[in-house]
Amino acid sequence: MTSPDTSRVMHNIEGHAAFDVHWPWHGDRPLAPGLTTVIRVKNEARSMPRVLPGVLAATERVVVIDNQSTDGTAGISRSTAEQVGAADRLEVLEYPFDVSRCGLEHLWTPDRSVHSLAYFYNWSFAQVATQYSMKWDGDMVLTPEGIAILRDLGWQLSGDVLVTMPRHPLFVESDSVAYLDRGTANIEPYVFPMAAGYGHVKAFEWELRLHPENITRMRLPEGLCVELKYLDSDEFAHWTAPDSFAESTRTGRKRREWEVFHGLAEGRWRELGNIERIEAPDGVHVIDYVTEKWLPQAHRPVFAGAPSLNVRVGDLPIDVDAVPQPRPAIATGVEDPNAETEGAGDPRRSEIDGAATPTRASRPEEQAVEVTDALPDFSLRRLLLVAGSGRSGTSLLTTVVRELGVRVPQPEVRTDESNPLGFAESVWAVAFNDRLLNRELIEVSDARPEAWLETTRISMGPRPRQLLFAWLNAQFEQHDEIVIKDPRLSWFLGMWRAAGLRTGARPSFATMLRHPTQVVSSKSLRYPGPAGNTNRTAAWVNMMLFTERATRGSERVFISYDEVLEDWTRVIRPMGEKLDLAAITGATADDVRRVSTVIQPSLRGEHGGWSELGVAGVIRDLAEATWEQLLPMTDATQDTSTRAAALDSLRRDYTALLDEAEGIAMSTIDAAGPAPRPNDVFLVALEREAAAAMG
Amino acid sequence: MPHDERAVAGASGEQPTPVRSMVVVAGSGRSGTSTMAGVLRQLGLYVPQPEVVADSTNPLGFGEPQWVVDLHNALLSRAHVHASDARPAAWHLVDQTVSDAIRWHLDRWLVAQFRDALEADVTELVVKDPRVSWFLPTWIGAAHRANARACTLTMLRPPAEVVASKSTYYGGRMADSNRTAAWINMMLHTEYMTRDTTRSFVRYHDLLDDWTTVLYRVGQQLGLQGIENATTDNIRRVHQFVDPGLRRVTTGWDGIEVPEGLRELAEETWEELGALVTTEGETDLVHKRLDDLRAAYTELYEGAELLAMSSVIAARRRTRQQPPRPLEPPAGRLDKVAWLVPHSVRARIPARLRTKARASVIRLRRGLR
Repeated sequence: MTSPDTSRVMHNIEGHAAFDVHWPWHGDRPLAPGLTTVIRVKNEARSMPRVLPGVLAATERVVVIDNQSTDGTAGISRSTAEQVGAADRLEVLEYPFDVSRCGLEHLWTPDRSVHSLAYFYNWSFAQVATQYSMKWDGDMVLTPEGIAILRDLGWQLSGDVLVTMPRHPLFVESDSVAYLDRGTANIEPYVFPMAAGYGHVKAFEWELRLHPENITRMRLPEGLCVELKYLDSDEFAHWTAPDSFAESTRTGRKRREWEVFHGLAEGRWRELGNIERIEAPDGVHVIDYVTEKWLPQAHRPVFAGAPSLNVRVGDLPIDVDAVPQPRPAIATGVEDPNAETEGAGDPRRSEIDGAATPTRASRPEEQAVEVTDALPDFSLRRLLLVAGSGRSGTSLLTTVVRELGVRVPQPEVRTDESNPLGFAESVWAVAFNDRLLNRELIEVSDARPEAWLETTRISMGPRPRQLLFAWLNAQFEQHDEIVIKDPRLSWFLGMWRAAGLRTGARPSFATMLRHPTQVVSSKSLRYPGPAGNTNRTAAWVNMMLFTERATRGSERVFISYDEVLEDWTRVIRPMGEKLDLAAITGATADDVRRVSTVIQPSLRGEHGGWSELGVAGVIRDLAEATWEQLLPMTDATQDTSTRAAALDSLRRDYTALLDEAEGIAMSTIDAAGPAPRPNDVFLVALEREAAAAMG
Repeated sequence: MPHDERAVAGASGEQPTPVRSMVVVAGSGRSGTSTMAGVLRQLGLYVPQPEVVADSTNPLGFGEPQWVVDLHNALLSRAHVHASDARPAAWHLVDQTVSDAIRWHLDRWLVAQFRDALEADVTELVVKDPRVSWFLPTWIGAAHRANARACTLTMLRPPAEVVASKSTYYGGRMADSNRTAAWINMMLHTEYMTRDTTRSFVRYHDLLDDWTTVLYRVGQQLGLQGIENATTDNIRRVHQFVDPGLRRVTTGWDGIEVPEGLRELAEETWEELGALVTTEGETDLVHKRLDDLRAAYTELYEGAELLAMSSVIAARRRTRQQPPRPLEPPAGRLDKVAWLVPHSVRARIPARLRTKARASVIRLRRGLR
């Protein structure tokens, strides 16, 4: 079947002109960048207060399509959005037609009827005005990690990418008790580009969204989302009859759901296998407890049938001497985050929509994690991520913060003459980031805008994520406040933030600002290599604009390198207060004295203007414009939406400039690629003949 | 085809050794170089044989000698340079691949071609290949050594049309930028390298509109006997050969996504080259302007290269990570039989039968196991 979206409008056979489908990609205005959530609901008033805050935090717009609810779903949706201060980003629309239930009723409904599930979906998604859309259900609740990941994707996605995500069924018995099913691996595509060729069509039991055959798929990790099933309600009301899904292999997931639902209702949960009974501590609703604490901390893989990730929780030994300096590469002894357990990285596994593999395979005893007791209080945990370009004083800032008592995970990268203060970098963190970067062949200062999506994609691997979480968790068992600094960190801010959230820590960001001419001249002096100053300047713009975007909306500070050198106390104190770092707010006079001996005016290093660097006009102007937008943000009140818009516009200009340069220089890029096999038989024969003749 | 008058003159031995001329038809691909080579052939110039066979993209034939095409391809490939390469530095890379051995072969080939031409009583031959611009100094040198005049005839077509006409090579807007840059690179360097030769420039549209005035001028500029002595039969055949259906409307830059600076440079290049269509246009001022444009293009390209350095580094790293490709597919016992059959023989078997034969070999092998 071809996509129904080739013409501008799709009419319905009933002639309800107000409910014709006007495909947004055929509209007069180009679609805005970003991600919109579409939730179709019927009588989900009970769930909306838990479902909506997550998607409102994760995506720029949320469209709720209310299909004849009688329980006040629309009103509850609006009041929930108001409570989280997002009323302006929520749209509630009414779809006033009976929609065929899944199964036989769906099968016999024409796809151009307003009663068809496929038509309903097409109409619903036609309300989206952004370049990507996310299908959501009225019973799906995000974890903080899920929110963080989707927020990043909202600005990172470009081109034909399909995002799939596992979700975990959570059967809610009461406000304090629920059961999580580890026996179902339910992975579906949720995020789609908004373009022709992505329309909904009819399948046998339900609808299906089309996409091109060879689309890039990005699979999100487990533990981002639960799907609520209330044991006291009829969860199968939207089905014609349970018999409809009794036979087909396509409906295996539904059969497991049916089995678990009824098994739990009858109190037989132990017999079902792979069911976790979770009891929330007093005063906490079990859904909040599961999404905010239990699931983030729970053993991975969550799905009992997935191969083990073989991540050793606890101390991960590393060899400091094996880390070359100043650019640490591969330290022996660190577990390779790239090493995927066989089968785990195979995206085809259970990726077929809805074709779940119910399994009764029980987990080995040593893997079982008993987390039914209430988890400890993590409210004091802070993860400070120091971002920004290398040679911008990130070491200086981290050293100050460390001297005041925020912990740099040990051991540290050893100092050398290029950085007399020491790098204040954790060897483990550096080696971890470095391996992931190497995996996709991305340079520490890579100027390609598309490299951001590449690093996001590699950071979705379940093994690196679990490794990072396990390591970070072990660090937090010893210290409440931890600082991570590494010039590669900006590439993986999303993964580090998510790992921090899973440990229960509050992640925050400090971005160092130093004028690009100083950064570039310092880099050309310290790290001479194939990159010229133009490329270094471009890399600075790329790093700064995208770091700003990645930290937007989070707890963050921008710090001027020059101001730290001038009077660090004036800078660090407000930073500690803003990010709520006890080590800084509670620093003693002794601490301050000790730090003052470290910071000396001689640290002011290299200087030089643009003309000395020989950097071309356009990129120099962009670097200056970026600097002019970023520097005022050292004053937190300047972190405004107007400035964000200006930075977004600079980011678009930069991406366009790099696209143009790549287009012109494509011959050079091609020539750097693999050489064609020359017709050497021909040439060698000619050369031999000539040699013989010429003597 | 024999020229009656000259056949008589040659036989009588009254004329001195006839002047040999080699006409190189240069210019970007999709600019009418095949049409021009065909016209020259109809007017009596000799096209070295055997030629690349005609196909659907050029039903009238390319006028390209197979050996020349093979040689150019092999050398470009050894230099790791694309036929439409936008790098100003690529010219030097190609030069370096031309060894004494290659020159020795070129000399021999050219002498043999002049001998074949003379058998048809022609002393003027056409060398045409869209890649020939990369090897202009080599060909000009070979002509001198063969005691022949080296003439060049460069076809001109508006860059927007060339870019639009070329089949999609890379996706998206990058493709158009790179093709535009490649056009500038090829045209400006071709002009520069032909400056000391007897040369002529022809706009594709002029050729299609009224080839007689164009070829008359070319004949005078290049001093070609074939054109000056063309018979009515020749002229009639050219009329039948030049396909008025090729006349197309000028498209302009609409729908082609190219950065403004690059487009301006392409337009200026087109304007300046247009001045060279008349002999009077060959002034120091025009040459100076073209030199300036070449410098401006080099600067623009190198600027883009610097900005795109991360992509270059990434491509380099990817290349280093790839294992070397095996030279031959891993072959089982029965496959090896196929390798014993000389390639020239295998190539004569129609593809459909070859596929069938291969399938039956695979079936047979499965059966044996």
